[in-house]
Amino acid sequence: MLMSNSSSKSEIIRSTILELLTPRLSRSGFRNGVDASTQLLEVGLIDSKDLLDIILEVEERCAVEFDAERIDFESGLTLGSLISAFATS
Amino acid sequence: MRQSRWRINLRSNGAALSCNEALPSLLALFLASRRSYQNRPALWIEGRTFTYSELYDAAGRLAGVIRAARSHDAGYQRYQCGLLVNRTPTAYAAVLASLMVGSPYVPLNPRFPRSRLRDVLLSSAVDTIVVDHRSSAVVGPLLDSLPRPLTVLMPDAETAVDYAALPRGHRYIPRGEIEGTSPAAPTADCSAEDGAYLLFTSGSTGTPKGVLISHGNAAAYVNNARARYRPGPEDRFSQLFDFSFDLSVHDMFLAWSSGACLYCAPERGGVAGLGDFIRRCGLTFWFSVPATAAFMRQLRMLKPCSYPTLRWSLFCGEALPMGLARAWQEAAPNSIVENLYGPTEATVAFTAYRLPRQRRSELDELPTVPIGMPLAGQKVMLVDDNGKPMPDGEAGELCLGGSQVAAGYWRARGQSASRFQPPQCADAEGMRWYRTGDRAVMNREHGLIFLGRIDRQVKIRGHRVELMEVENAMRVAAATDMVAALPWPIGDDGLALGLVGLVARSQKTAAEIIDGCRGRLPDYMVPSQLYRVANWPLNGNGKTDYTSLTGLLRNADVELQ
Repeated sequence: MLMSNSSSKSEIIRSTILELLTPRLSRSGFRNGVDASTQLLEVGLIDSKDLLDIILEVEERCAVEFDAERIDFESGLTLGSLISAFATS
Repeated sequence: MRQSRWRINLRSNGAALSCNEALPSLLALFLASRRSYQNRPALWIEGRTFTYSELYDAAGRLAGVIRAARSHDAGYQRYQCGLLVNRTPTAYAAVLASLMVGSPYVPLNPRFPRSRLRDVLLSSAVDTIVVDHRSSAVVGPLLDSLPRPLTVLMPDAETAVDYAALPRGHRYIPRGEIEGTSPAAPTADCSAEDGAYLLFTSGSTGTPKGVLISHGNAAAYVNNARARYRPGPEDRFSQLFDFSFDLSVHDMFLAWSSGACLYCAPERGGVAGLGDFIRRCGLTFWFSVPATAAFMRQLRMLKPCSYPTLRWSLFCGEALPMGLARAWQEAAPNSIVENLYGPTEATVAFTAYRLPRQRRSELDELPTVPIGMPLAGQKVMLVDDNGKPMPDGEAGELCLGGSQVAAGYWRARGQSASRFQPPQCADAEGMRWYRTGDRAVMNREHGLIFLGRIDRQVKIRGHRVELMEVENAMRVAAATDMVAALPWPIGDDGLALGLVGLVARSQKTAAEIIDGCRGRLPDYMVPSQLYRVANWPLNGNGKTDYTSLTGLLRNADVELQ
């Protein structure tokens, strides 16, 4: 299937975040899978320092910039909102 | 003989109370605002606001239950209230309830390991704990095998508590029983010397040491801060600190002494959500450790004019890098940036430095913002190893004297005697003193400049860490004596960014050792990496040579496990 540049970039960001989350999943004892709507901080999957580490790692590996203003924090921080906060264009 | 006694009478309907505010306590400061601003918001959590009256009523109900539970015991005034809470409405009501019954509150941070919380419970005189819904999973394991019975208030337990799952021997009081209890008119008969809160800090013996801050200490600080920052009922305060960090006292009682509202930072956004938090809530007061601001800067959240509503931007808890302070000043251009300094033993903050808006080369070339001059009525002195004052302009150990200094460590006379020592000079007479273990030098124009720790206490992400405490946990986890904890890596500004562990020989794997530490220490004290040292360096006294170990790290002459 063909994907646009931005969607393929999003997919790379998504897989990078999931890779970075994997060791934290076992550490935090989180047994359920992570989907786009999983609240990352509220369920204790990661803490604020983990979040920072993940953001900086994704920026470095994927050559993208994080923009916190793209996130609606009223809805919480999910995998989906985190991916969308990285500028892909 | 005690002086300055006063009486606080609280009525269950919240309509009347008497309180001699000429002798202020933390509670008296809240009550004065409650009388003047009863229908104004006092607390904001996750979009919900609670007025001064609502907060007072919630606290009064808890206070009534606590007092009723203690009614059989004439010695109730000896006891303390443990707060196993995490920034919920119940948490704040519980702080006030403890003060209403005349008990110091003892924060029990549910994020800390169970063994540490158990040490705090065993060291303190807690007879009652309040548990909120965020901490209910911790209470069972914590109380299991505790040698003395406690009264456990669970005001957030909506449905019947599953008592079968909770350890026996304790008395559990769920929400229904609390709501059904008539909040009697508790009377607290206190003096300025009585405890307001008991905090446990990282201890050099490997166990946490308690610092009992009196009403007199706390009121002295809050009144100093009120005079300095002049908050009003329209102000909106950030609240980022856990109760186990005494900077939370500043947020709560500076806000509540002025009729202002306290805004709890939502956890759901973490550090990335803090910019949205400031803007959405229209905060006017900001107070955080510099690390929080540094994280925000890394995420490019300190763009110019990002936070125009802020009037005051205060930082405390660790050295404030000058570049970071300037970046914050640009992001919050209508606020005054101040750097505060102070150990728990001297109540929240003891000195302050106001960063001028205009850049000046001699100031901006400093790596960190000065810590300035003591707050009103407090004194500082720089001394040598023997406690004698240093000549003008020379660096020395920073000693703090005045009404904010605590009486000593909780049930630790030996440690108190060594740290709560006056300088050896006539000027120091007539007040309490604390030797901080920090080095500083007095600059004529900018006041005190912080130079670092004298002993092996370090600051990691704003938390004080005794490296010996980390080593004690490592020894158990690694089943060997040859261990060391070192602050590493060191940033460009000379400050520790984290800490690592070094082990000579151990049958345990690195993962086992770190997991073992994680079970005994808060996360900020757990070594991020573990190194194996083939030839363990010893000094002439046969003790571990830390200088050599640091050299090994610097030269990468150690093996990552």
